[in-house]
Amino acid sequence: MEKKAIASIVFFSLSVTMQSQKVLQPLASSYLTLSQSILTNYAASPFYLHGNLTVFMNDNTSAAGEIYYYLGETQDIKKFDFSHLLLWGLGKNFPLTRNFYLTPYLQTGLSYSKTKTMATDSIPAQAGITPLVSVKSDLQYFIHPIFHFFLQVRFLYGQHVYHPPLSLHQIGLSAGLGINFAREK
Amino acid sequence: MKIKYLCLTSTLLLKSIDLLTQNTSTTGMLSLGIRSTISTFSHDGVGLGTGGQFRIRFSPRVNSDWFLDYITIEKKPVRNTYYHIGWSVIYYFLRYQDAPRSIQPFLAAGHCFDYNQKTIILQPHLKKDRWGSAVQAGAGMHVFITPRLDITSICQYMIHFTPEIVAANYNGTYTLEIHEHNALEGHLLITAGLNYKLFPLWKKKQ
Repeated sequence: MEKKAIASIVFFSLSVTMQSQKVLQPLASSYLTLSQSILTNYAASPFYLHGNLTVFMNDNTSAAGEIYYYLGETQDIKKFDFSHLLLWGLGKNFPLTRNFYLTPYLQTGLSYSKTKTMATDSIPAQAGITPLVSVKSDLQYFIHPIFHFFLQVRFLYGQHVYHPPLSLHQIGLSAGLGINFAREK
Repeated sequence: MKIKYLCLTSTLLLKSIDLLTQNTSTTGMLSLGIRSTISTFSHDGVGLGTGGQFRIRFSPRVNSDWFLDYITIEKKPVRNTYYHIGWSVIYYFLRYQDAPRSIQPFLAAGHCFDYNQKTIILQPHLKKDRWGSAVQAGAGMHVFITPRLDITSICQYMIHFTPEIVAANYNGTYTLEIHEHNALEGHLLITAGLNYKLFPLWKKKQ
């Protein structure tokens, strides 16, 4: 049983390695992963379910749309009831080596957030939609015509202007395995 | 099999866009982009906006920018929400050249419809809104990253032709009032965006 499992892993690794020898032209990619952020102005670390869809418009330009669904915070005392983020933008692809792309993006977007009502507050917290701007960098390694590894680092700037106001500035990280459509060059 | 079909279809689609946009500086070029705006130098305070725009180029020196912005500003005790829907004419005072020339400066002026809602943050039931009209003018530049992709930054002043809503404080109680004498007040808008040239809507006659 163990031998079969090891043989399967070796076979999969070999097939991936053989595929990675081919030069791939990515056309579109997508992933769903968990993402961790740290607010820069407060001791708060929200984490999200992060979905991404990227379209490679040509060799050097990509368009990416992303959704971050708030799942919670790692601290006991939470800053948000919820804080969902939606971002979209364009980026420039820098092929580093074969099948390896670095893509910096400028993104704009919206946050739908509600902060926690404090015990001292006379009125309840309000939910609202506020603008966001984000700079992110994607590192993608296309190992297979339908699989790629990715690492994303982002800085997000925004201000929740509903009561009680809260800065949304945060640094975030996402990583994992995604799917893609790619053709051989 | 399905994946192969999908790859083939996507490749054909991208190739057809490639063919349509080989000459990225042609008259009639349609571009699509995203933008972020900082609103400042206003009684309302400093705020951030998000939005998008498309451009249609009329001639080698004249382009047009059609935009939508959603801006929020918080300056206690008031929260401001602005929507700007409008257009600007872009004039290239230097001869227009695409990439590999890296920078193209321009002047811009135009008109927009604006919606403003003011809310007293601690009394959210106290809110007042108005629709209005505004003009804006300024200068900016395209920075070409590729022949089709550019970063555009623009700084423009927007003057509203509509009386402003003002928060008045009467012994600690806030109210929102419309002040006629505040017409012609405005704000400075600093915008940064990315634009992608899609395809020409029409071809220049030879």
